[in-house]
This record gives sequence, structure tokens and C-alpha cells, in this order.
Amino acid sequence: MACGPEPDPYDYYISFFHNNIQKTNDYRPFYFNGFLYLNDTENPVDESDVNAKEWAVHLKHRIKPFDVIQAMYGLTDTVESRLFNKYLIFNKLPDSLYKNKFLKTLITSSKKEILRYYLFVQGVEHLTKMSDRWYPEPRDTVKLTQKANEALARAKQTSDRFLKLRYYYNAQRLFYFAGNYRSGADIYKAHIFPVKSNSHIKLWSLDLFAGEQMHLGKRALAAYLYLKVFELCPERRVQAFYDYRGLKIPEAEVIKLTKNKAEKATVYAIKGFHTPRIGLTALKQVYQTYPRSDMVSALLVREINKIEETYLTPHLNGRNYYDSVGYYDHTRFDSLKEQYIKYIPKLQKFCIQLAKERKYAEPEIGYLSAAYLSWIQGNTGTGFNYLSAIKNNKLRPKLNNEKQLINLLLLSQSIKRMDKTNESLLLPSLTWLDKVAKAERSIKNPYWHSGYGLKFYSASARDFYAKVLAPIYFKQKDTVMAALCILKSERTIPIIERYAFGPRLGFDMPHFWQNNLHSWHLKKVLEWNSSEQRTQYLKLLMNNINEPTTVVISGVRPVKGGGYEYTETRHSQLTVLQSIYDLLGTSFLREHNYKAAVTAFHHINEKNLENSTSLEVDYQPFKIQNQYPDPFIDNLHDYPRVHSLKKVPGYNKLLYAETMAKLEQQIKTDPRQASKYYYKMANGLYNISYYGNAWNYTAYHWANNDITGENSFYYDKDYLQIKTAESYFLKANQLSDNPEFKARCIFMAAKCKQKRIAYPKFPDYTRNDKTFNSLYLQYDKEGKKYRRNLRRNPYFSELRDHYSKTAFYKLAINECSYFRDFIKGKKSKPTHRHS
Amino acid sequence: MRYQQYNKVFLFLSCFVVLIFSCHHPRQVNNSFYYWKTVYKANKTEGDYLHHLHVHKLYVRIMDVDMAEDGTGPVPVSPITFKNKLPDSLQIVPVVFIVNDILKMLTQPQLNDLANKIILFTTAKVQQSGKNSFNELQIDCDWTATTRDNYFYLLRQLKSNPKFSHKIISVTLRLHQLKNQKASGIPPAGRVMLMCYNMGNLRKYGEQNSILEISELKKYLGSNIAQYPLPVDIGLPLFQWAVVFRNKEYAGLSKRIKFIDLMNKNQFIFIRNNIYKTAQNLPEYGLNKADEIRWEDISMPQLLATASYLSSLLKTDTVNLIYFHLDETALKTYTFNNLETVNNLLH
Repeated sequence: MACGPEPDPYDYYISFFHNNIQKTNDYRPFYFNGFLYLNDTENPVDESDVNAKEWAVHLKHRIKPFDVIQAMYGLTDTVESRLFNKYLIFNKLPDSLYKNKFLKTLITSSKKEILRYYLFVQGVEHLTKMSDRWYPEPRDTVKLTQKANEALARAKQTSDRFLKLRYYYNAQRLFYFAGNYRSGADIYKAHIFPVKSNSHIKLWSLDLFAGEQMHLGKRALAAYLYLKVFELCPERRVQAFYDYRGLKIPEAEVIKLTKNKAEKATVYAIKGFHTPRIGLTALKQVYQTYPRSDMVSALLVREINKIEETYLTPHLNGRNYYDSVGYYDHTRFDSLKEQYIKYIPKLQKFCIQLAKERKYAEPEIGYLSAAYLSWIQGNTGTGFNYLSAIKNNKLRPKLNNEKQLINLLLLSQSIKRMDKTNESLLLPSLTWLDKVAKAERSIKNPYWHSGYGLKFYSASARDFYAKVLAPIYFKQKDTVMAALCILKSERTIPIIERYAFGPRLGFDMPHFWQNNLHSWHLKKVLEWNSSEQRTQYLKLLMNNINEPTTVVISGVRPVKGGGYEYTETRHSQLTVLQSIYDLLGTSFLREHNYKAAVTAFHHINEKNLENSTSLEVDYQPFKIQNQYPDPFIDNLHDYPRVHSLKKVPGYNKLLYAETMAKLEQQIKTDPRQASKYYYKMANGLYNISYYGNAWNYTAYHWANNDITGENSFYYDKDYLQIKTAESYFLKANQLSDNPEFKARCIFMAAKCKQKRIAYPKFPDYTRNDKTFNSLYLQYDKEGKKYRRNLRRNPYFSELRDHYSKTAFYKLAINECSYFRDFIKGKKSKPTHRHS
Repeated sequence: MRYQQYNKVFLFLSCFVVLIFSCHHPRQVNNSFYYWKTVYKANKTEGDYLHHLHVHKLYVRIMDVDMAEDGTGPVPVSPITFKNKLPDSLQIVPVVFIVNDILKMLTQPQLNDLANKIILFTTAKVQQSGKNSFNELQIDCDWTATTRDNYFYLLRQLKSNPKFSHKIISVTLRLHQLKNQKASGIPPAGRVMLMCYNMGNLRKYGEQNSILEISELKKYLGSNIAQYPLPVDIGLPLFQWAVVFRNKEYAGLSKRIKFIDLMNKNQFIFIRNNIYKTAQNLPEYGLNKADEIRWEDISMPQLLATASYLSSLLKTDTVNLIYFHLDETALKTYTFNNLETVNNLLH
């Protein structure tokens, strides 16, 4: 399709080493992602959750954290105002909040101090207006200062340590928004820093203190404090990263301020999280400084993902990968490739060091990474050795799954030729992969795109079948097995019905199936599908053939943080099997075996058959109607297309095949009228070609550049070159005595011949203007030659020499400018390229 | 000053101008400026330029509109604050810059909402500037074929708001949008401001001037201005910047470097033309040793040649000329006479 979807930033390269392999998701925003500045802008933990849990503990778990979140963060302005001005004053709650135990505690508890605090913080919230950036008024610094002082006074008055800390924090925060950074900083130093407490309020206060130091000109100190926030405060980690980076303080200056190894390691790690290109420096520095840090594996996996993105993916896809993804300039792939080939063993050496020294909490990650890098390098034996080093280790599920995946990759790499023995060797791993991929179907993926985004095992299964297993079969020229791998790959997650095509048979099948499979390949698939003697391996490979082809998505709704959620419904009446019969029938049409095509199309119900070739037309909003292309239309011109709202003869592929089979028969049984039958068959063939009225009887896609011959398929002889149609027009001419009819046949043959005159390809854009200009001049020259050749169609002289007295001859001169120019012997204007 | 070398050329051009236009029916040229800083403060030098050039209108950037960090919707970024009120002699034209990418993902209800928010926010900011109202709102957006429909929808929404029915909505027009009218479309606006700057490849390593090059300008303009179906105002650059390259790859703009800083031989080595190299690590500028700096500015002859070229293309009786931007440091390079000569060329 010309306007394909944009690449999914969470699924744009092949990854078998999943970035979420770590024990926690603490560093998820910093996983490698070449498409986004940060992999995720959401913090690993939500600040409101942290605060709510602290309140729940403080109130001895008599309330649920949800109640605090609702009361503190979830009220609309109207509810909030009614609550403050009406209900709470009279110790009451509105019906909508009656079940909220937090609010209930506030009004029933003897400690009215909590209620006072709640009213205070909710009351000052509008002054900070952090939540509504569209609020145009500048901050009311006078009011903010007044409230900051009030918070300070209340902090001093209360004896409740929990509330005291929160009042001081609010005083500091209000001074901060008032731009009084010195007073804010003083509160932190005098009343918050010295307090012994595990409350995260202390960290949020530290975050403000960092900002205050920045505004007071102590930028290096501010950077160090943001570093602490990054390290200790997951709910503010993303912002701390931005703040730290934004200060641009040289690393050495921050290192001087660090007080322990963990802090020092964090400095190096942040540098690593900000490095988009390969490099071991940060990883080694973190490991050498503080090997226990979780950031070691986070950085290690980043390096592996970078290798997957820039080296493995193009390697498995061929160099065209970056063209299709449209990723930034990777024309220098060769030099990059060399760079990666040198880098991979260095990283692997580090992985083994990590594994053997056992300083990191999960040294197994070292062995797994080393084994995976061996697979990338093609060192199968070494890879197995690394895996066997951890064969007796008890691994947590994610690591164990990764081990299984790497084992499968190494097993496939060890296979020289696929046979029954090797198939059984792979079977257990493939069965496991099927299971873990299927388990992901229940995950609601908030990202639109293809749906693979965060379904790691599904994406790996898809890539394994298409990029690892299918090539093995291609190598041994087993087209059917390769095709099954491709189908299995594309069906890992059922395809979302494409809006443009609707539920059309065959259109959602893999490109390879649509274009490269002959009838004998497809018959083999169908034979296996109905055979009871299939091996378990084959059953697994074909287990989606009886499944619905597509899912329909509906109820699309945006979700917080970007992306969408939606409901999936399956089209139960349309299965892959029906599509295979459609492909089989179509391949018989391409092979001119019309009787066999009729048999194949009989396996498809009429409605589905009709849908596969009719076109939906939106005449007026919400009134979509079907139009049917006429495959036997007899027109001198290709355009305009003739699509009818009525069901024309041959309006579906079955009826077309039946008509063609009948015509074939009639040529034999009624030879006197054979010329008429040949003419109709020729028209039928012309019309289902690329240029014809019903191209979609032969192909499943149509694009302007199909004729440049870059894709060459087995059915091009008729689809693009129209050779059989031409020979049938000539036969019709030979067998007829009617000069008018004979002239028409020759004109139609000329039309077929014209399509074989090669049209020059527009040159690819080059950055060098001079090169492009010379290519363009060449294109222009070939264009002139092309137009000259159009006027020199050999059938034109036959028309002129033998049929100049016919009425059709005059008609042809009127209708076809090339023919007219041929007769006049003058140049034609370069207008439309179709006759 | 490096401009001394241009003095002779300048003198020649000035005489030339006087000769040519002495027998020409004059066109009216209205000068104004963009105010593109985040805090508005009255400044004497800047005020003097406004006074000498008879400026009655100031185009004040109100905010950028970009997607919120959490992706929940468009938000104002770095909105302006007013330390002082705008002088009574100046009308305000609020300008809102919209990041093109955000338009890709907005639905029509979201665009309706955005239009309302822009109106409320802008109106409030105009009031903070000391003005009761404004006649024109300018929207600045580098819209493309893929965002065109959403952008035009947003413009229509702004115009259809009852509060805006008597106001002009103008939009900025980039050179590619002027040239590729078929793909870019004609915006549903009262007038356009053609940006005759930022035309070259900023990120490309080399000696080119990405701010303004006449050869580049000529590729886009031709008869396109006169034939454009909306009134066209002209924007000319009065700014300079230092473009930093590290290992021949674009590393960013260093806003802290001034031209005079490049003369410090301990810190910068002159290489050729407008290229300098750092002699040592310069953390105060965010530079490493051996970074290359391309200094880009607009020389007076360049500005005059541009005005002269534009003059031949404009067919209207009145030309609104808006300089980007009002900033003391940038302005000091040009005298009042310099800028008056530009006016003369356009007359």
C-alpha cells in the first residue's frame, strides 16, 4: 500500500532479547529506543500511589489508598467546591463520595487536624496550577507567600509528625512557586532534611531543594541533588533525568560531589541512558564502581538492543530494511556493519566477565547475553556452551523464557538441512513459543499500530518464523514449508481488518502467498490440512489455517500516555482456509486451468466470493454499495473503468472461470464461431490483466510502479505482458471473414503489444544534484524513445495496409492518438500512456 | 567590525537606490517587528528603533503549543510574561507558534477545544500586556501536506469563534508552502507573512548561511508572490547565531556565543570565512575542544540585495515589512539609516 502505517516505536526492529528482562521495571523509561527520546515518559511508579499508601499506613489501614487518590487527586472542580463549601463544614459527605473512607475518617475522627490539613492543601492547589497549563494568569505570588507562611505556622503548631512534615513540604513548595527560593531552601535545611523519616515527602522536598539551588546559581550542586532524586525516587525519576541532563554539568564536577559508590554509578548510568550509539564506557564504569547496581543489566540490555536494531535487523532483513522503515540515514550501513562486527565480541567479553565474577545479583544474565551474542555471530557451539553453564540454575520466569528463546535460535542455527528428525528437535521449543505468544493475546495493548508493540513473545515468534525458520526452507528450495512459516509468522496475532479492503478473501494473506505460490503448492497445503497423518510439527505450523482471517476493531478510545484501546471482534465466517481456496482458484486462473479453478472456487460461499472482487463505493455517507467490475467488457480504451451496481456476467471469480471454461469448450464444439469465442476469451484475459477492468481477478494489489518490472511474478506473462490475450486476438482475426471484426482484433492485439513497450523508470533521487540531473536526462531520453516506439506499433501497419477501408479503421484513427500519429507520420504529444 | 569591508558596496547600492526610485511612484512600507522573547521588558535601544522606524505594530509571541510530555494533549510552552506594559503607541499582534507534529494526532473535537483554549489564553495575555483588545492574531506553523487539513480546520475554528468574527487571522508562510501551493494548499486566513529566512539546511556541515541566501530565495519566489491569492506581508531576518558541529555532525545552536566572543584567540581559532574552531574545552558555551562553529548573520549588503529582489516581485501599493526580531544585541549591528535604506528599496 502506498500509505503504510508509520513504524511502531515499540516494534521497529527484530528483538529476541527482550528489553523488559530485568527484575523490575524501575528503568523502563530508559530502555533503548531509537525512535523516542525516552522509551516511556511515565515514571515506573505513580506519585499519587506513593502518597496514598503513606496515608493508608498513617491511618492504620482503616482506609484504602484508592480513597485518598479519589479525594486528593480525582475530584472535579464542581464536586470539590461543593465539598468544601457545603458538606465538610457540616461534617457530611455528598452521595457520590459517601463510600470514600478517607473522607469519612476526616469528618468522624476526633483528630480534626487531618481535616484542617486536607482543606488547606486542596485550597492552595489552584495557586500552583501545575495541572492546568492553559491557565493564562501569572502566579499570584502575594497569595502564594501568604499561604507559604500559613503552612509554616501550621507546621510549627502541630505536634503530629506526619502532618508537620507535610506542612513544611507545602510551605517549601509554595515559596518555590512564589519564586522565593531562599526561604524554600531554608525550610528544607532546617525542618525537612534533619527529620528521620522514610516518607517520600522528604525526596519530593529534596527535588524542590535541587530546583532552588539551580535558581540560586549553584548549578553543580543542583545536578548532584537531581541525581539523588533520580536514584532514590522512582516516581520522579523521569523528570529528574530531564532536570539533571538540562543542567549540562560536566561529569567530573558531579562525581566530586558524590558521597558513595552507588551515587557515582548513577552519574555514569545516566550518561549511558543518554547514549544512543554503541559503547561500553558507561556500562563498564557502572559495573566497576558499583557492580550490584540494577542499572548494570539495564545498560547491558540497551547495548544488546542497539546491536539488534542496527546490526541484526538489517542482517536478517537484507539491506532494504531501512528503506521500508524510513529510519534515519543508514546508507552508511557497510561502515556501521564493520563497527558492529568489532563491537560484539567486546561486549561479549564483558558479559562473560559479569557472569564469572558473580558480583552482579543475577550473573545468569551474563551467560544469556553471551549465548545470544554467539548466535548473532553464528558461533552456535560457543552459544550452547554458555547456555549449558546455567543449565542447573533456577531462573526466574523471564530469564528462563529468554533461555528457551536463545536455545531455539541456536538449535535452528545448528540445523544444516531440515528433515523430520530436525523438525522433532525444534518441536518442544516451538510448542513453548506458541504457548507464551498465545498467553499474550489477553494483554490489552494500548498502542495502535500492528498490535505487536509490547507483546514481546508474539513479536519474537513472528520474527522467528519469517526471518529464521523460513530462510532454512528457502535454502533447501522447499517453497511450501517456507510459505507455511511465513503464514504462521504473519498470523501470530490475527490481522486487524484493513479498512480499505474490508473482509476480502486473499487480500490479507502474506504477499508471498499472493504472488509466488502456484496451484501445486496450494494443493499440497490443502492436502496436508485434511490429512490425519500430519506430524505434530506440521500441525503446529498449520494451526491457524482454520482460524478467522481478520479481526475487526471497534470502540477505539485514547488512553492516558498516548495510544489507544479498542475492542477486537473476529470474523468467524472468514477463515484462512477460505482464503487459501481463493488463492488456489486464482492461481488456476493465472495458469489458464479454468475447470480446476471452478472446482476451487466452489469451496467458497457466494457472499465471500462476491466480496473478494466487488468494490465498495461510498456514494453518500453511510451508504456503502457494492460495484462489480465487468471482466468481459469490450472497450477500446482502458479508462474510464466500467464498474456497475448490477451484477454483470462473470461478476465473481467463479462465474468468470465457468464462462472461460465454457468458451474453451465452445471453441472445440462450435468451430464455426470459434473466432467469436477466442475474441471473448482474449477480452477476458485482457481485462484481468494489470491494465484491465478487473485486475483484481488476478492480483491482490495494484500500484503504479508495478509496471517497472521490479517485482517479477510467475503470472507477469499475462498480467503485465498480455501475451495469451494477444495470441487469442490474433487467432480470432485469423478465423474470421468479417473485415470489420478482423480490424478490431488487430487493434486489440496492438493494445496488448503496446503494454510490452518498456516504460522508462523514473530515477531514484540521489543527493548529488549532478548525478541526479544526468539520470534525469537519461530518463527523458528514454521517454522520447518510448513515445516513438508507441507510434511504431507493428500492428498499426497491418491495420493501415489491410483494413483502411473499414469503418473500424476510421474509428480507430479518431480514438487512438498514437495510431493517428502513425498514419500522419508525425510526432505525438506525450500525454496519457494508456491507449 | 567585519561589516567595514561591505561599506563600499553599501554606498554604491544606496546611490543606486536613490537614482532608481527618484522617478518611481512610491509604495508605502510599514515596518514592524517580532518580539520573540519569553519575558517582555521595555528596553531603551529597542524603543529607539521602534520610534525611528515609525513602528505602530508589534508581533508578540504569546506561546508555543506543543504536546504535553505525557502525551495527554497540547499545552502552552514557555508562555510570555510581561514585566512592563506595552507602550500606548504600539498595537499588539499576538503570535502563537504551533508545533506541526501535534496536528497529526488531533481529532476534530480536540481541535475545537484547542481553538477555544488559544483564544482564551491569548486574550488573557493581551490584557496582561496592557491592551484591551487586538485586531489581528497570527498563527505560526510549518504545516505540511499531512497536517494541512487539520491545520486549516483549526484556523477556520478560530475564525468562526464569535469573539474573533471582526479580527483578522494571519498565518506565517514558509517558502516551500509558497512554492508548493498544490500540496500545501492556501490557508483559510486573512493574510500571510512570508518568512524570507531559515531557508537553508541548518544541520548540513559547510559554509552556507542557513538564515538567508538569495540564490536559495530565488528558487522559491519568482512570480509566486504576486500570484498568491492572499495579501502577502514580508518577514526579513535581523538575527545571528552560532551553529556548532562536532566531528562534522550538527550538534546544535550555541545561544551564548556572540560574534565578539569568537575574536578571543585563546578560545577560538579562525579557520576561513565564517568558520571557527574551539581551541579548548569551553563548558560555559557547552563546547568541546575542536568543535567547529559556523557563524551566521545577515550583512547589510545581503539585506539590501534581498529587499531589492523582493521589490521587483511585489505588485501591491502597500508592503508590511516585519523584522525578526526585536533584540538589542541583534539590532545594534544595523543603524537606523541601514534599515531606512531597506525601506527605500522597497518603496
